[in-house]
Amino acid sequence: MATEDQIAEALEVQQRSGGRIGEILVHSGVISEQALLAVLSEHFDVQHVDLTGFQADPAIAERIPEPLARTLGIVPVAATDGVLFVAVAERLDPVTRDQLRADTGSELRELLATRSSIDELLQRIYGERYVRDARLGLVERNPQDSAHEVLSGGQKFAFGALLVLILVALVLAPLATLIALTGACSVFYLAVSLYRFRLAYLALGHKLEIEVTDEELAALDEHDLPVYTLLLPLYHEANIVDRLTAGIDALDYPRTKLDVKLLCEADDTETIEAIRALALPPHYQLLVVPDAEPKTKPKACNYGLLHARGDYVVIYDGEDRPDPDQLKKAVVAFAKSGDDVTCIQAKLNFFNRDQNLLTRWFAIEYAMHFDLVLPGLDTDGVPIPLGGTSNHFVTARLRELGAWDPFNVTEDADLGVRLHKAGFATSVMDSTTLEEANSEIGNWIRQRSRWCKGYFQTWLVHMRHPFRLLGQLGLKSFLSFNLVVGGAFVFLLNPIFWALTTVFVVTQASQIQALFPGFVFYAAASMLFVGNFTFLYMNLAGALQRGYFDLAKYALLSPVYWGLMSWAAWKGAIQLVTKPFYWEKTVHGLDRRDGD
Amino acid sequence: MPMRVCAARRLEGLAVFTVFTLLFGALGYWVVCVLHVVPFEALDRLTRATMVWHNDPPKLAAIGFAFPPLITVVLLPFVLVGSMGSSLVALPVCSAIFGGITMVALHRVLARAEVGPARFLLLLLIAANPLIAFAAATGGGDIVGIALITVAMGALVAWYATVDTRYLVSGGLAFAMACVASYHFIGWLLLGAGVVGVTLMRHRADEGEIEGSLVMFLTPGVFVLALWALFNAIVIGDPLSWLTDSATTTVNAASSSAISTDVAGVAEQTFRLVLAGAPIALVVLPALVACAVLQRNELAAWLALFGAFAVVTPAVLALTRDDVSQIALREALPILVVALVGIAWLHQSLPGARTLVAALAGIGLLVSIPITWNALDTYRYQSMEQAFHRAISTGEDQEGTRSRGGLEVGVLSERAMAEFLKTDGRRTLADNAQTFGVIALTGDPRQFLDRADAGDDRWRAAAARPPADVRYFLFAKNAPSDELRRLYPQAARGNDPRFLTVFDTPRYRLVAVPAGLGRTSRIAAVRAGETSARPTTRSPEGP
Repeated sequence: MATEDQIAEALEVQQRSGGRIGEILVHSGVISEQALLAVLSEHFDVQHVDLTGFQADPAIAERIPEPLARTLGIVPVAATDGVLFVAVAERLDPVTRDQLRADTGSELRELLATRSSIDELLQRIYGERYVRDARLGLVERNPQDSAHEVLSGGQKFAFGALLVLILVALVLAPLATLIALTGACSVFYLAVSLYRFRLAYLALGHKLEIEVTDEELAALDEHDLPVYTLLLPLYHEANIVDRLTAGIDALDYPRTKLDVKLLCEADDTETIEAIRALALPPHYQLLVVPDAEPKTKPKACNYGLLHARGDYVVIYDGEDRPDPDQLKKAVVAFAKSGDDVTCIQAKLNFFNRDQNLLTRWFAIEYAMHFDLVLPGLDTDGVPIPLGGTSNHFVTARLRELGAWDPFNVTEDADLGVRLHKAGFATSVMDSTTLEEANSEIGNWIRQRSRWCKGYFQTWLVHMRHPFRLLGQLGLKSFLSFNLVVGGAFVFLLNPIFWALTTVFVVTQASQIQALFPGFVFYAAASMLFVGNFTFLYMNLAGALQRGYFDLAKYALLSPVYWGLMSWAAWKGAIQLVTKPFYWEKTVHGLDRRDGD
Repeated sequence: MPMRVCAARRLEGLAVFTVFTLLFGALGYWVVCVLHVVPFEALDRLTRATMVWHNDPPKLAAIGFAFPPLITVVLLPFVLVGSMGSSLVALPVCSAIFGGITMVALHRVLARAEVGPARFLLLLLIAANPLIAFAAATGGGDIVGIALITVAMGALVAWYATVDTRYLVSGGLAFAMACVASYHFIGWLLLGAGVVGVTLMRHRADEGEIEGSLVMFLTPGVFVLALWALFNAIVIGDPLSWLTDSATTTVNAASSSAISTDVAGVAEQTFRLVLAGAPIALVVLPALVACAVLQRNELAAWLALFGAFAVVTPAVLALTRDDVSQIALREALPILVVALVGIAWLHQSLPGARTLVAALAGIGLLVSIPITWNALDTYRYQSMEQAFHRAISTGEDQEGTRSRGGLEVGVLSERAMAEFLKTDGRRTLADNAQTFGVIALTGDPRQFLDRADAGDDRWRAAAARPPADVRYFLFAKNAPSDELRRLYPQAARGNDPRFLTVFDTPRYRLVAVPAGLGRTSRIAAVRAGETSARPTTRSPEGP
């Protein structure tokens, strides 16, 4: 039982944040859910039940519609003549009770059960339906925005026709065709470089992101804080579960208002067992996603979103270490933002950036992307391809939008574009989540190939109807989308141009020279010198903007890093054809010092 | 910063740019296109830029490898349409735009230094400075470097005041570009790095921050210079020849022997330079030193050092090259820039005396105008400043006159030859390094087989044995370094009976290439030319 000190502490929490004393004691791990249940059962003189392993009759369960049951945290478990036995996590209020009685045509008999056991029972009953919704929700609602098919019929025709046209042109006028292709690629590359430089310069030295001051945080009344859902997709990550929960516990947010969803795939028994072994308090909920293709993070997140109770929802990866005050900052940031702001992206960087050269490059790239490019996009009011984690959403709007596309392997970037298309805004806030940087090249290539593949997917999805997209986004956002998301294609071009340059320098081959007549040569030369310098300098600027001065010199070696990017881009491009929905899983926990 | 303030600031900057660009552009059009005061180095750059687009094949290498490349590169957009170059309009347009950029940069410097509306008056006085007006109006390359170094100095001062990374970026980029607009500015880049490093050290920044900031600041400069050295190494086999071979402007040296190149003589000439071109620096630089000492104002000390560097650079060059003409009037421009930035910093650093500083600056700039105006006419080492002075004073066409020291003014010879060639349309072999004026004014370098087309070796081979489509040789009669003239000296003089003079002007001779030239060896051909008896000129003399 709780000691006097524990009760005093719980009372203090209650005074500060609200909530029921029993819940506070359970959420802080002082007493178990079962113990509280027993007390409540005695207090209300209501029978309590243990639903562990209980197999409900679906016909009975469905007497209360699933969405309502999920929202209220109830589930019908038995029925006799005229009486429906309903497991409830807390007593129903009279209005709800009367409504349910009218809807079901039965008298209700409440049986107290723990919230987690009710949720688990609902999953056992409706798991297949949930996973179907998670998989096909967007496809059914808005198929043209889903990557369930790589190319639409129109795109197949258009790309096919273009390919034929190029082949015919190559036969009829090979040199002119190659020159035209080279010229087009050079101009595109240069445009991407200059646009990114513009974005970076726009953000450099400014605080374009939403800033939340300490005073604003201190002025928050915790009683008014909304329930916040945290989605944490995990796959084969049993080794980091305890670190993950420690990180969540470190968040400065009332635990009774946290709704943490630990999302595991059904075949990942190791992680599931590791979570169960921790006997986590009830604000943690283990959601086991039934086995179904595609086995992707967005599908798991959609599954989690179905169960989300929070007004806001955020995604974190298993190894993430968000700033402790990030949730509160997000609440303030939403309050300070315009009504259309539906997503607030926190900045990302790495806690192990000093581990090796690869992690340093990765950290520099992230600093450039999250501290310069994204705030630049935000200021410009153009679509922001979201980062993989730490994006905070208004839950209702996210649902309205169809949530994440489970067939897109960069569902985050895709969602950013869909938000913009729907007229919602995304902002960036001045709070950082530290992740683990990939420290092994193979692992990094896998992760990056997925990102590149996802960017290609996203570009293809939204460019199915270019003119419609232009109408939806407007010219500025349309161009930005093509230069930022479509900009991933430059990594495919890099090795081609590097190879041509190298071969020409070594052999002075006239055939290569012939590919670059006059104007094409000028564009290509600008691309080579201005483009490469721009990327290098932006990396440098990103490092300084973030205050990573010690990494500046490593930014000078960025061209080697781009070589790796191109490798990954080609791998992603090939996989887009061979295994479009395959999720290249990143192995976490490679940070040796952290492991030590 | 509130968006409204940003927008207002941008609008103000745009207004300053528009007004001064139009003013410089109008003045430039009048002086260059109507009164024909055309600096020859500007004409040379114009030709090179024209060749980059309009040569056959288009040739990036036409930019050249000795002169700072940026001063040609910036002309490229303006000669995309060939007639912009051949009409010379590209020159004043380009320099006026950089003049406008200089004024915007100075406006920002003054605004950051909290100079109130008086800054607009100061800007007018700066623009009225005859040396700045000459540089911004006549298409010379100096204004490109001046614009960039002004932006760079403004960014450096802003960085010092705010330690904002953005200024480190813009400063680093501007210094880098200034380095390839005038190699003198490499020293400025290093001094700038000194400002960054020492300032951070004085602020007890950690080693990482100092290192990172210096990397940020120096990377663009190192990149462009390394790239330039690489191009030089690849194309002409010497990565650093540009450091020793360069000279950006034609300066008369006719009377340089009158001044001794010993230290005393050079010092005297340097003093004359400052007095003539940037007299206000004689007040501002000591004031900066005083401010540095009395206020322990570090940036004032650095600015004084920049000023000293700007003053000393031409003097050192004069001594090392044993050539006093290095202390040319245009060398006063960087000194003037430091003085103007110094005025702004003094204004910012002396809150109790801002009105006084602004008033003194106004008076100083006003007084400078007649002094420098007079210097344009009288200063010994200059380009076309005297012709500019005369053109403005009299409003008369300067075609055919001479500027101080004997430089010929005008492009009548070039224009006449260009018109003839344009009408004739036949392919002509020429040394573009000496006949650039003609090439530029035709607006069509494709008509010429020149050294930029396929390199010197192939050009020499073609000169020895011209291809069938080459019908003319074009000689620069008064240029001993004309390669074609060296190969066919008698023909250049009109003394080779094999070469019929087709058209002739005071500076150029166009001759018809005899059929079968080059069937004998080049040496034999030359000898044949050397031994020919009398000139045979069938065509009328040119104007």
